[in-house]
Amino acid sequence: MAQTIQERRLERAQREFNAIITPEILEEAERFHKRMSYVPPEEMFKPFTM
Amino acid sequence: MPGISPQKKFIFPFSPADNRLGQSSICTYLYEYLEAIGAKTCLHESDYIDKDYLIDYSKFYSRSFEKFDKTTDRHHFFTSSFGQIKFKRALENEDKDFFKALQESYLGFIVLKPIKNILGQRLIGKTVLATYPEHHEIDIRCFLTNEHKVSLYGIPLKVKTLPFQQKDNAVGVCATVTCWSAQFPLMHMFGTPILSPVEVTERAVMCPSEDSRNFPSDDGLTLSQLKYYFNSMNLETEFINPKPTVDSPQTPCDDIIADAVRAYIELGLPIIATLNLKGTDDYHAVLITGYRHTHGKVREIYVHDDNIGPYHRIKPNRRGKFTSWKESGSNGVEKEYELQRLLIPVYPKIRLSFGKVYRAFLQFKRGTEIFVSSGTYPPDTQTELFLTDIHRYRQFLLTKKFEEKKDIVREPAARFLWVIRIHNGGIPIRDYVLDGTAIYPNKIIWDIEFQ
Repeated sequence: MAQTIQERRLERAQREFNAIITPEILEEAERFHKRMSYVPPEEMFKPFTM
Repeated sequence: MPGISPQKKFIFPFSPADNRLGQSSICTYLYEYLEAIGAKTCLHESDYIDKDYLIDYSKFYSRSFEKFDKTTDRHHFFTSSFGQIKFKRALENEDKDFFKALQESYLGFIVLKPIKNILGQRLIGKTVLATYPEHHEIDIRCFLTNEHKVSLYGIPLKVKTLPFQQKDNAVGVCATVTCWSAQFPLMHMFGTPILSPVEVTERAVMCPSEDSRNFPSDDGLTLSQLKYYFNSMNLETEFINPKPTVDSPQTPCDDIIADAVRAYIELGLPIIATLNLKGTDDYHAVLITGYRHTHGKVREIYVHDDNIGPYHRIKPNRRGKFTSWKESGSNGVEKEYELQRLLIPVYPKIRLSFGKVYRAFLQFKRGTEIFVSSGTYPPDTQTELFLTDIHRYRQFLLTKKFEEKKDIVREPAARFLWVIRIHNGGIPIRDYVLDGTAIYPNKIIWDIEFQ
């Protein structure tokens, strides 16, 4: 089936994007997200009293 | 007419030397702020029924042996000068021109509660005051605001801002009033309810903590209770720790706090900052409400700090970052806070987290820096990251010129979008638009080069 203009444009954009955001960068992003969003259990129970 | 005594003076020229709110440091701050935004006249509305205070009164204060008033004093502020005779005559004659002029010069109001703190100073209740002006020389200020309608004896007034109030140790301290302020933009965007401070605390403490009492609530809420509170509103919470080490190239010029503030304020999401007073075990929570920038470089962050006041300015530290904040206390002693974490309540459909997309953003940022140094992009070209929704983004696209515009603006897209934008002096060069409802930052929706 012939590709639509939108599909062709999207495919090209995705290809260029993938050249910058490689699988290695995506793996790093996962690790980065985990470190950044982790809250140590003791911090969860410190009250804000000020 | 309730609130107007026939003889009593109720309209006053604004004067910081004659602070009508009280002598506490927060009252002094508020009068300085009002002077900075151009207040000229103050109108005192007595016996005002404030919904938030009334709920706190009914749930807490009404059951005390001590007698407390159930009404408040509300003070309105205007940039125009007018007197009592003119105002009363306008009410008598339904002077629409005068009412219009009042609206144009309206700066908002401050509610003074009948409750006093341990020093005998009356507490500041709901405060709805205009923001600093949008432009400051070449800088631009961006704020988290919604329109608040006010009725002054039937005169319709409105102000764009984010409500503030001071902590009340009986019903809720810093984290409670921070959540209370955060409710307003969330209600506007996602239809979540507005609760009074006592109701915020009641809901949050359904998640148990190690502290003994819920009310009086001087013990404060914990991070887990803040998370529970927003989750109970069917919202997700994102945490951002500003101190992660990144495995990949990262230069000292990146400031994750400034980047996160810009990213979320663009959509209108409130950002709670949790702080540790350095060298102590004291923790504080404030709400980030805006920022000032020069062509994308964040110069100041504004916070609603219940110990200081609304739109308190935070400057970057010596390293040019917002990871630690300094402020002068009322006794002149400088305090330094370390920013521990940002907490952002988000709609559950915003599934692509800041943490995941930020790494991809840094990759584009490094690429742009290389293009600038090689001369491909002009100097001062920058990369920014922000969250938006399809409606706002399409509105923006309609104002721009780019190839296949008439097709692109009609294409279906996700409700929430992360945009990595390359721009020069605020003029967009290229947008990489990612699906904000995706799990991973690997799906591009549009790659748009502007003409």
